[in-house]
Amino acid sequence: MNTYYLLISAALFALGAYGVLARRSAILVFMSVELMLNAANLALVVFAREQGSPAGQAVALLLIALAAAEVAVGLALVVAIYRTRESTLVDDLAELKG
Amino acid sequence: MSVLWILFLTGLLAALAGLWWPERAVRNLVRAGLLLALVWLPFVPEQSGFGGLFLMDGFARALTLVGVLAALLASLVGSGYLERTGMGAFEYHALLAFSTFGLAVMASSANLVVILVGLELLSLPLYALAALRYDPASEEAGLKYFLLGAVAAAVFFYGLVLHFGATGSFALGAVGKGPLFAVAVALLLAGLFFKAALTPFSWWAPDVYQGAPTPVTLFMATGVKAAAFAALARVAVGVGMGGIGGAFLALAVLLTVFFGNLAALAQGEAKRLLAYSSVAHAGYIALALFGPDPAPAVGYYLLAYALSTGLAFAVLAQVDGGRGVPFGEVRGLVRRSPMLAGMLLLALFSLAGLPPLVGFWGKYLAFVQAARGGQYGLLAFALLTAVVAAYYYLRLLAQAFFLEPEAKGGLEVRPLAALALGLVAFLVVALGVFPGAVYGFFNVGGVVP
Repeated sequence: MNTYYLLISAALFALGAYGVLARRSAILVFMSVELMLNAANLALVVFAREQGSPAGQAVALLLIALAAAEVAVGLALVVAIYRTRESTLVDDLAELKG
Repeated sequence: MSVLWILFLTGLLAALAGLWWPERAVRNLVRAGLLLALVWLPFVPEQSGFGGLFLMDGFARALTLVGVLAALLASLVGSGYLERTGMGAFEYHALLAFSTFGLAVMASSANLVVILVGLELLSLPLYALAALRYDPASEEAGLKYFLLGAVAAAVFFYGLVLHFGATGSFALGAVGKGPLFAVAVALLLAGLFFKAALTPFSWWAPDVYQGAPTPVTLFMATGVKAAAFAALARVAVGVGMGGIGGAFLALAVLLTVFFGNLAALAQGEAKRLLAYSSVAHAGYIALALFGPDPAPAVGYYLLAYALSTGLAFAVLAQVDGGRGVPFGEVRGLVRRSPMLAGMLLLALFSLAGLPPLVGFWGKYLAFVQAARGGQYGLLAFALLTAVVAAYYYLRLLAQAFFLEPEAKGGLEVRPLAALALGLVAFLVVALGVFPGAVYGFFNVGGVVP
């Protein structure tokens, strides 16, 4: 049973990684990263249940909080950029080259 | 423990005080806090707390010292730059203090979850700091750093989860085997390679280093590198260098010293050039991890590298008017300010690894570890690329010394910034002549309990 959950988690992680590489909007790239984080959390609770470890479950909660903090900073950055450029496409970010 | 409290309270007080106090007062508060942490660190006893989650061993103490030193330098040389570019806000100092706190957390734990929390505590303020100048280049740097940093954190997180699944423990040093463990090791290392800027996960570094405000770049190149290598050393030793970990690291070192040095040859912007140079140096530091006793070499190399690169970026922060430092800005620096030009010379010679300066001893220790670990092929290749590196450092120096300046007039350096620059330059020379003076502090035992 647990194997299915782990496979789902791996598939979600792969989907997130694909989104990071393929998506062009900063918001969608960011959502793909969130997908990767949640995939990891799913695997974490599965492993924690398998091993009967309450520490694992607690760490999952802790890391959800961590992801939320990341969202706060990331969206603030995206909003700040949208104000100056009226665009959140990562392809438009091409000031720096060399 | 006490150092963590000092750094945490410094950040917290600075963030609160900024609401009422003028920027100047917050700046002094943060500097006082960082200085207190720096002075206190050598006297902190080796201890662990929270059931082993917190681990203040010799290695943690040495790397925290490097990180706090970098933060203090970034704070001291930063305020002139901040005012020139119209971003004289207290947030710079408060965020710097929080980031230093994260750095200390990351360096003083051998538990993967705490390392991840420390990584985020270090990175989240830095994403904001990179975008602090509010112009397109700075915002681009902030967003790129954020998106790739978030991916790196997610990859590290997945590695952590698989490590837990394979060994049943979040603590490093737990024994594991099988394909699950191998994937976990690969993901953990890949996540940290991002932070330490090891190729193939280093392509963000030049853009971010160039776009971010120069004092922030200084901290990224020195403090963040120290924290990333603290975690990388613990993870690499904790999971064992025998299997996939060692092979993965060897490949990364090979690519890093090759691409880092090669790409630096073609640069026409000083910050970008130093970014590629910092990528290459990450490769040399990682070489030390192959040795039987990596902790002293990693610590001492990071100190040498932080002093040298810190000095170089501190000089550039005095030259930079907010639009980066293309070679034209450095041109004829010796006419505009002989002192700054002399310091740039010391910094770049030390980075190139010339013998009477501290950078030489860092390279020496790292290369000896690689040789003792039997990595002769890698070592020979790294030595070859180190020779190439001398070329682009000299190219930058030639701009500063042998060409006529484009901009006229001298450069004004604030007294405190001048003091910091002078002290770091003194250390670069003094620790080169007397490398044993502080080596004892870095000569610590293992990195994983």
